[in-house]
Amino acid sequence: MVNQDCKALIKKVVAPNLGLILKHYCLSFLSSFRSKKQQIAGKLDLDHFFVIDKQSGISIGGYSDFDKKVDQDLVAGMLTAIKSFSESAFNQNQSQSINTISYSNFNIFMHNSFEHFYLAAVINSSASKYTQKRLKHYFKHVSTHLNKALEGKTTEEIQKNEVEQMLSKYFK
Amino acid sequence: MEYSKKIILVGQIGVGKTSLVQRYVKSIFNEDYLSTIGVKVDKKTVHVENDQVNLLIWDIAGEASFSKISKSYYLGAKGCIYVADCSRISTFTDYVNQVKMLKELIKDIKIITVANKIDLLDKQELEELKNNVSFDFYTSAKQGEKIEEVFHEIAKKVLCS
Ligand SMILES: Nc1nc2c(ncn2[C@@H]2O[C@H](COP(=O)(O)OP(=O)(O)OP(=O)(O)O)[C@@H](O)[C@H]2O)c(=O)[nH]1
Ligand SMILES: [Mg+2]
Repeated sequence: MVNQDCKALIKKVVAPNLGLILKHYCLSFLSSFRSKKQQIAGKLDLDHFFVIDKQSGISIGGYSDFDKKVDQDLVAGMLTAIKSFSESAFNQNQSQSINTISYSNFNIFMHNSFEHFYLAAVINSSASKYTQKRLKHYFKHVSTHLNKALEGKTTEEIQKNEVEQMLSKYFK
Repeated sequence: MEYSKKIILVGQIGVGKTSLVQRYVKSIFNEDYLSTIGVKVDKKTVHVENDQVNLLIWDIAGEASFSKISKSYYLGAKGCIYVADCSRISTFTDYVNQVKMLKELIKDIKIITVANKIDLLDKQELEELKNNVSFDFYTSAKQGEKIEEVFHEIAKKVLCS
């Protein structure tokens, strides 16, 4: 199936739920943050970055510009539902390096970095080529840094603090 | 200690899966039937003795049950609440198959069975039902009956796994 059809279907079937979550938690904070962000030259308009268990959808660490305003577990769960849906519905190649879903103003990028985990970035801006290039770069770096903390481990064995510290060191 | 566990709600269409979750998470009930599309994820924190369990509740559309897609929603779940509708005996029939399939997919999954909508039965009918099917809980999402107990029990079970 063509990628376009796939995206349209995902948008129709699962994305509305996700949209609601994201909207509910984020929109009211966007305007103030946007102006602040624009002052920081060269900073990617990154709203959230998660490390997520591929199967259960449980967030094992995240970085967020809105910090406590977002329930990471909920967003991670919905992202995983969408991912599972698109992979099984369209037999998408799981190792495909980056998957993208657009909803309203949000662009979500997912990257299969590890055996049991994947990385997801939520961006509240149009995904320019430049943005995508930078994200690819970030995915690679974060994967390298987290490899030691995550390799061969299950969700239960992971120190969430360790993952979050690494992410905030990298993105702040 | 704090734990996060994924649990899934499965069962045929219209048995009240979404209503059970809504009653539990938001303390509301809606008479209208808005069939779930795909899956909806909710969260609620439960305290079991000294532990905190964040239940990530995947409410899976009845329409999707047994399909290839819904199987991918089951993965990673530690617990399952199987829901049937007291007023439709046919909704109890695929229980055995579903449980078998789930156990093949996830070896150590903990399963709880729930017969919902008991408010639609009179006392005698309910007794008859209990004699014929032995489910773990008999609930009413409408009246908020035994809902807390169901989720507390599944939290307790997944914590041991
Ligand atoms: N009387 C009564 N009605 C209920 C109860 N629980 C749910 N309902 C009604 O049954 C209908 C279906 O409920 P849902 O919770 O949407 O069912 P579901 O299992 O999520 O259905 P799908 O998403 O299609 O799989 C709705 O009209 C609810 O109001 C209950 O305990 N008693
Ligand atoms: Mg439903």
